[in-house]
Amino acid sequence: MNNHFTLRQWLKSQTPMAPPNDDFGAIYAQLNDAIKPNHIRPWFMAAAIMAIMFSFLVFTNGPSNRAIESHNLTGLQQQISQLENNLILHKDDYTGRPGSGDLENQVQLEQWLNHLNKRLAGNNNAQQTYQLLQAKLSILKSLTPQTQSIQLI
Amino acid sequence: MSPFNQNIDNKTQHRLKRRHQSACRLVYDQFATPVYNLAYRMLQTPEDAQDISQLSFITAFNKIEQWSGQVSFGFWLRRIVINQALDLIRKNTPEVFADSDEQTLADLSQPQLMTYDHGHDANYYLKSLSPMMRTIIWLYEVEGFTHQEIGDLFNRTESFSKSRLARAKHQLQQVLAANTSTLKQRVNSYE
Repeated sequence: MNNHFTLRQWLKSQTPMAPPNDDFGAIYAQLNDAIKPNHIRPWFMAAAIMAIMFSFLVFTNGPSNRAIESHNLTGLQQQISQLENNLILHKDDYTGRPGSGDLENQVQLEQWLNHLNKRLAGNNNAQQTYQLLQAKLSILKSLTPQTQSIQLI
Repeated sequence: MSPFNQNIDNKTQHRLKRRHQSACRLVYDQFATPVYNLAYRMLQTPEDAQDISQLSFITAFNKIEQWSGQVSFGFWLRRIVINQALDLIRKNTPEVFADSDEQTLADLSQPQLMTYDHGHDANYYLKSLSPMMRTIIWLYEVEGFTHQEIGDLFNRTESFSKSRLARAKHQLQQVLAANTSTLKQRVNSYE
């Protein structure tokens, strides 16, 4: 049967063609292959190793005889607080390009930060707290571009 | 309304940047059919349409930070699909991109009404056109691109798009006329 339509009406009336298969699995697999890190930056690695070492110290060291001066602890906390605020404010600037090794490293370091935060939350020992905060500081510094000037107390 | 005229929310965008599987899945489910449909209309083979669909989603997920938000996500994704499909057409049939840019009066004086045999879907007719012709027809008539925008896609002028559209319609008419003639012959043979 023949009918008169404008070309536009006729083309627009066509049933949309759905993909024959659900390709999401293949797409996501290729996406994951693409975002695997090609290289690990040495300074990211160093920061991660430092975090591991500090964690190791926390596990192996018993309560220290050396008291940590409270103002040192306060100063450390202030530095950390500033870096954290800075990271939150400029998160988009600091976030690595999707698919890049930088982003993968950042995600790994953020996982370390979460781990340290959990240990800090349940810690009452001043010596251990000091070591954990230093580990946290080193990771936060790694997450912040080195060219960024930050006013530290 | 174009099925590409849909957006994604900020949360999904943020999660896409992190390659969260659920966010990628959400976007895929939302746009899989429009993407495949457009690719198929341009390329006319299921394998090519599937390849271009996959490639387009991967490109969109990988370059999500380049989406400025000035146009809806769907329109941004549509542009990726068109570019990927055109790249493939360019690679497979470079000759269709090499023809001249001349415009004739005859090209621009085509009738606005044509008769279609509804026994066939649009693919039956689109397949008879060159990849460039059917792309221009689909983008102009269905996706609502302007001649200027189509000219830009092909690195040509606005009049290039106008003349190719007119020629495409002319070719379609010829195919339809041939079909009608065959149909008449068949009917006559039964009588």
